[in-house]
Amino acid sequence: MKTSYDVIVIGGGPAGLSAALKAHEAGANVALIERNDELGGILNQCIHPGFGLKYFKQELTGPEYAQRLIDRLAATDVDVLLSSMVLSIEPASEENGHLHQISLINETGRYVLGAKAVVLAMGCRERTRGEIKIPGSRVSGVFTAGLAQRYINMENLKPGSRFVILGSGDIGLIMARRLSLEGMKVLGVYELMPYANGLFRNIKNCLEDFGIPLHLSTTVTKVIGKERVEAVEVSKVDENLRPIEGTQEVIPCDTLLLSIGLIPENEVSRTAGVELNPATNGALVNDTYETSVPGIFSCGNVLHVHDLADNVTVEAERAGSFAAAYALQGGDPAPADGEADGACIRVSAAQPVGYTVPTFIRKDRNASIYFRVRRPVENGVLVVKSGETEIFRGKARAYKPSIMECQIVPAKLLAGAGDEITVSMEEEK
Amino acid sequence: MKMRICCTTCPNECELDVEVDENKHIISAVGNKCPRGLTFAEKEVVDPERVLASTVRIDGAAHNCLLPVRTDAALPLRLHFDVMRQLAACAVSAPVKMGDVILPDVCGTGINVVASRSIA
Amino acid sequence: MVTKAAAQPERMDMQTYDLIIIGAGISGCAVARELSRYRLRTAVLEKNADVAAGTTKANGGMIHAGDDPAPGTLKAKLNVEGNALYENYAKELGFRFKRTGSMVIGFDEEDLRYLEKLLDNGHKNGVPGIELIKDTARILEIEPQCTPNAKYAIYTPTTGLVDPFEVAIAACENAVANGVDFYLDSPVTGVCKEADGTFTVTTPKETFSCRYIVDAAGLHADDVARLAGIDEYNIIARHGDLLMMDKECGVKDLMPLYPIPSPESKGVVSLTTLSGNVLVSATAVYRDKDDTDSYAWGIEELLKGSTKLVNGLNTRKVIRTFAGERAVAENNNNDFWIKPSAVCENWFHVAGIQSPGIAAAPALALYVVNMLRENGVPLEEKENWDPIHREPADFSELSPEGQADLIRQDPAYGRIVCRCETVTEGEIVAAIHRNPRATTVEAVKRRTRAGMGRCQSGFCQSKVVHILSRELGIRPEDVRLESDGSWILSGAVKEGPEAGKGEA
Repeated sequence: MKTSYDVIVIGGGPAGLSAALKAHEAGANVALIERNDELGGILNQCIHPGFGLKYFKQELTGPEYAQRLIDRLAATDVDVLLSSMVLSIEPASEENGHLHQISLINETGRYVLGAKAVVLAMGCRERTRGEIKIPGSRVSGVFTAGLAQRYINMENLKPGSRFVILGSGDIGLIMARRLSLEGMKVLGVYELMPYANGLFRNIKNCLEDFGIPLHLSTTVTKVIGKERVEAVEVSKVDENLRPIEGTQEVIPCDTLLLSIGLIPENEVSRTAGVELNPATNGALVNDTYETSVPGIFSCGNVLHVHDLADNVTVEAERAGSFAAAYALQGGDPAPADGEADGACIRVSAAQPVGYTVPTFIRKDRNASIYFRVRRPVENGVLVVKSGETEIFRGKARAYKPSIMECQIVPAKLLAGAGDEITVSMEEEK
Repeated sequence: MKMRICCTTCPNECELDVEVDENKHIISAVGNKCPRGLTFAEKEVVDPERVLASTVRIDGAAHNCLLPVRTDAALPLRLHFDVMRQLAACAVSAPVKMGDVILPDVCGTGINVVASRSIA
Repeated sequence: MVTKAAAQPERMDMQTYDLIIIGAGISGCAVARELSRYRLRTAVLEKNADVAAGTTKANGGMIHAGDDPAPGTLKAKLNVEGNALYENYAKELGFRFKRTGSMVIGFDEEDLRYLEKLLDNGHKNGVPGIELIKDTARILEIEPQCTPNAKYAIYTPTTGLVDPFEVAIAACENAVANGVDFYLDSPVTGVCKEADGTFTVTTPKETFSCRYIVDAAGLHADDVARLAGIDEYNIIARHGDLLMMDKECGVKDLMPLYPIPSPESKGVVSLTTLSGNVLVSATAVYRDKDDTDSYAWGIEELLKGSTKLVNGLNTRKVIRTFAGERAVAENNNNDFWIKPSAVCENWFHVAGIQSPGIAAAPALALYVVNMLRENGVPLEEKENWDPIHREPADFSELSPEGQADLIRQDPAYGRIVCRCETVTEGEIVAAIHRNPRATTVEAVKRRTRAGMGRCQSGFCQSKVVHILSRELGIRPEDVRLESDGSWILSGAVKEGPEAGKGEA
């Protein structure tokens, strides 16, 4: 077994696969570490179509999307370590020979691998009942939508028969259709916000096709049952999202699915001392997807939650090629942060723009700025300012929180900017 | 009759407002950014079609007991539950390769149900 | 293996014991473990699928110093004595215990008057090292994460922390190793005093005969006593909401901080548990027995209470809300109800064990055993009693070499099941096969922490279900979350070719 590589990629989902492929293509010696016993990540349980329209120019299911990347990887000499869990990363230092030290375990033992560059691609996890503090009893029958998806699509097990779904995120909508097709009953989807959170196509194809009602501005205010869910209480909420007394309704059911958001899973990143962005729960990165720790890169849902796997692939390919460049050229040719060459810009977001990725860009390179709005905007104009000076203004159009946007800001517009710019939005009537 | 249709051909998700006559012919349509939107809307009004994805049981695989499958083209929505019943009665054995036909020519449509991934 | 699990076939022949303890919470387990040193055939009957599954599991885990209970009460005595016994208890039973100290925080002159009274209480109860502090700087020196608004504090250096179910499980397993039989999933449905003075105790699966009964049935101790015609006291349920925060919540290693209690509530305590999560507990409202619902009102109170005392806590980082009920003996001056029945010979009440039941447990066990001795229970010491219990390996706590060794011995330790808390399959399999066995997802969680992390079992639940299914030889759909009826899965999605043909 080899113990040192140019690039080690952690995670074998769409981000890790894409990053490994690109790093390999750039001439790096690559290993990919995956904790499950097969590659593909969460795509393996996303058996529905809707993937690949952008990247493969063809509508694929999740497993098909993954299989294409897996087949490409199989044709390379990238080392793949399956069923292997990374416990920690010790960043490169003089003492450890300028290699990041990755500790991992699998059935055969505990190992430490060295890497010139590391790509973090561990994906995300689902928000839970605890995080939104749903009152009521602690019975069985409350599942995150992704766990239910795993049971149904991978393990051939039914998590219940009569379902209420809280949250109109895409996984919840997709599950509503899956459950209906497999003969389980979906009584309704309830959404706290006054608008749906998932892609419009999913509202249409997953709810309307099956006559499943979507209740906006409504949330679950109590889980009822002695040992297993027997019912849930739902209530309308006011404009401050507080339940309105007197609007409670009890819905008998045996299962509550939660589709209430995703959170980047940065446990391993923390061990390396990677600085996180509270707005995304992902790493703070520059325009090469390098984190605050030199030589450690981050991409995909561990960086910020994407709605399309295609965007993950594009981002991860860039991270993979930058990681390879870092490893092969022995460091950053033009780092975007921490260096006082005067070419670095810090990017911040102003409401209704919720966040931007990356956080650090350079004046001498075009910047692709990814962002998401916090609430739907009918007629929004994207405005980029350096102090009070406007350096970019977009065209008026609609923006939705469910869709991640990308704006390319050319280097020539950045050349005159100060060391901070703000991405904001003006609303036209 | 007026209808709002979401074209799902590409990620743009154009929303079309269409007006149809009693013979389900589109009289007017606005909101589509490209001609594919109109094609989609015409089908949607008469006989909506979707790709159907589901699973079938698989035996003899190391890590999997289900194989994800899909129709290789959009299938009329009205046939989805028929095909689901056929898939429930179906089981395959590993190995399977992505694209292998699992059920040919479902409901006489010429559309096949194919494997969504390879399982060794 | 003498533990009877749910899956065993029905046996209606009579099981005969000298003494039966009803209830395997912290008190029942501590008494069982203390009794296991004597030549006495002892059994414990527990209605739940696991020990510590009632009041014990939803609890702050504090080993209170003993300044709070009214002087002269049994509670005050057992609290202070129990606290002092914990070092040795932890050493023998192998559970984690840490003396953290704690502070009760005051903000104004009225609070100061309360703290002065508390200091007096503490002195009367014999709390070692108790101190009244009137200096913000000193308070912040003891706990820098305390609010700088704090002006006064009672500091008790002897306050400690445990994981309450760890204590109960360790006591139970040590009792089992020394010959006590535990019957889980065994609710007592009837008790009859026979003409010869013995008791006949019935459960849905078995019938037992014994000479002595220790009723440690928690919230239902009074109901169990009434089954035997004993109607001497009432238990009422004091409900408390609790919440657990992510390990990354802005606060680390927080010493337990108490507020000044209001007349309705002892107040909201914030602390960092032994596993590194901030725990905020608990509200206090009388509710129906067995109401362990979380209430929105209670959760708000907890968040308000914790931010009042703790500086820098990110209250958005809640990972779990839960609730428990403390058994309060009515009209008993808030004291424990530990005494022989006045109407039924050889029946002993160990009831009304509200807070500080965990802190009192080791002293309570000695007190109960002494009471049994004084009331004629023959207690002859065994020669081969082994007080030592060892917790199985915690993979995440081992050195790299230790981890490598364990994987070499058993590759299952190289398979991570719970990624949030770094729990391996080896640990889960070991937990399942301990005596008594862990037969539910929650029982596995209490022993290994699998599912206790920030994803709250979103990733590992299906793996734990499959491991339980394999190790117990049951179908995945027969794996329970906790008690009977808490099913997780209802069967196969695709039944296979046969089912399909049937429908067509």
